[in-house]
Amino acid sequence: MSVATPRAVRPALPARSDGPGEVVVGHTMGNTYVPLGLDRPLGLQGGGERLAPTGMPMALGIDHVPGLREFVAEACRRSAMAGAAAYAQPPLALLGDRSVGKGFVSNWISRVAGLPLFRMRAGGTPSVIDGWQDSKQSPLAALPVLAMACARCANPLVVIEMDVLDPIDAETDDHLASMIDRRRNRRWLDRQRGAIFDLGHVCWVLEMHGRTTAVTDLRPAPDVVLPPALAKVVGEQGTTLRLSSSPNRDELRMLEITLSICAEQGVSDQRILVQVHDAVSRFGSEGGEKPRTDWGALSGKVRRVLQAVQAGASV
Amino acid sequence: MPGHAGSRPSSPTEVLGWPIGADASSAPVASLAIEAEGTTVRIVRRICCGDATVAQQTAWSMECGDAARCHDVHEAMLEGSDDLALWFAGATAFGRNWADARIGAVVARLLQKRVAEAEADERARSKARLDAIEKAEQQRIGIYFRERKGRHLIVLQRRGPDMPDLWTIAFNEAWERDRFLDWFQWQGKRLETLVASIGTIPATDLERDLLEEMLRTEQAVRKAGLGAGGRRPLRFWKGAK
Repeated sequence: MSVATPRAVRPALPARSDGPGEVVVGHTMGNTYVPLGLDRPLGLQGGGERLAPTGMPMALGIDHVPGLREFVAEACRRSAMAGAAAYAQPPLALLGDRSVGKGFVSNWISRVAGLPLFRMRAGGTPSVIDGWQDSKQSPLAALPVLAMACARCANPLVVIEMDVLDPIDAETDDHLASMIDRRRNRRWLDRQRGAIFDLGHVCWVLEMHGRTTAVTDLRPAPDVVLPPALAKVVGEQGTTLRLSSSPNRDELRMLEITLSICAEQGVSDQRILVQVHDAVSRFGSEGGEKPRTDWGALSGKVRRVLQAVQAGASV
Repeated sequence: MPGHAGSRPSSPTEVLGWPIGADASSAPVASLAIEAEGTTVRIVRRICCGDATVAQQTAWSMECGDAARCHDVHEAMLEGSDDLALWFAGATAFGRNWADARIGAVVARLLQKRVAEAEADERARSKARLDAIEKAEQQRIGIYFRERKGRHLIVLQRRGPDMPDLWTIAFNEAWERDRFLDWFQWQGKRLETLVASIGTIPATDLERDLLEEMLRTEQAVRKAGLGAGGRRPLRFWKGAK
């Protein structure tokens, strides 16, 4: 098993929860101390008015993923019923080839719900597995624990990226499943640090990547599915959404990513939005090739165009 | 983008706008629809819990002027509704002008396509009508004269080139043939029945029956004082009323 370090830490918007929710996620097992200050209360973020039907469930940006709006609406409804102090969601699995918009979904939920976002990669090299498995010697806490400590937030959005071409082993599969499974993650044992952590508030997103759609590969496409233990947990407790590419959906995704990044930058002027969208739509289409419309490729373009538009330059 | 300001007063039957109820039927369902009401077409997003609509947003609407135009625009938009989510997002984010241009172009294209299809349908129907008329014409049985080995024939034949003879009756004299034709040419409605009976009764019996009927007609016409006289009493006869 291997795990990369968190790639990005995005501060929550706003930084603290709207509601009074706070929770202690670390508990000692005896005479040890709880690391990272996790024995002190952490905030629960993403609550309040955004959970109303007119909030997140009606927000723009997720129509290119069939079923996602219902998932978000149900998560908001249940969070509101639970007291509206924080946004909570069941495990969400996003399956599909690369560049079909999986990464954007997590960014969208993070931004609109106001949760800090952490991305982690399971599988691949180098094999830095220590943080995940309490049976091995490690100076580091598990990465979701680090995420909570870094953001001082009990319910960060933690994205676990996997790739069908670089599958994880059964041990890693079981270990990840133990973190996500609601029946086990409220008292998640870290023997190495002698502490018990509550991972039950974490909003989990599993991204399973298929192959890159842009590459011409004559081999049969591998079946994009979750490993068995994770599939069982998500099947019982969460939701699986399968994403695919189509011309209509690509255009919609491009528009939604553009809007999302502009919103992130605080731009709401319709004139600027139209200019940015027009300029981004032109990118890549000159050469006759299908332009890349994934989050990674588009976010850079949109930011560059936005800067140019705001500076009054011609795009 | 959602607003986060303020706090919503909750009634005892709802929390933050969500109706209280934990049953499965309360799970929210999101829908995006093109609706026509009166003379207005609009794009609406709704979130419903069971029978209750908990959120609704109209992103774009168009006043069509009259119900027929409204119906056409609605139908055209439904046909192009693959882009519905794009229209909704664009109209919300970029404003009415962006959506008007996009949707207007699609509607115009689809209406144009419909007109072209209607014209093509009309052309096809017209061609089918002409083909049917031509086919019926070719199926019609015609009465022809022939001369063969010094005898004068009346021949029944379907119209069209190279059609076989259906029935033939021969006379020794031309006036005999003409006398028979004076009667026979007014039996057009019976020709199909006559042709159908060929083969079921002997040819001589059929000729006998026809000639007898001709003679009976001649007698009746003479008796009524309407005969032409001479060898061709039915020369000016125009068939039975």
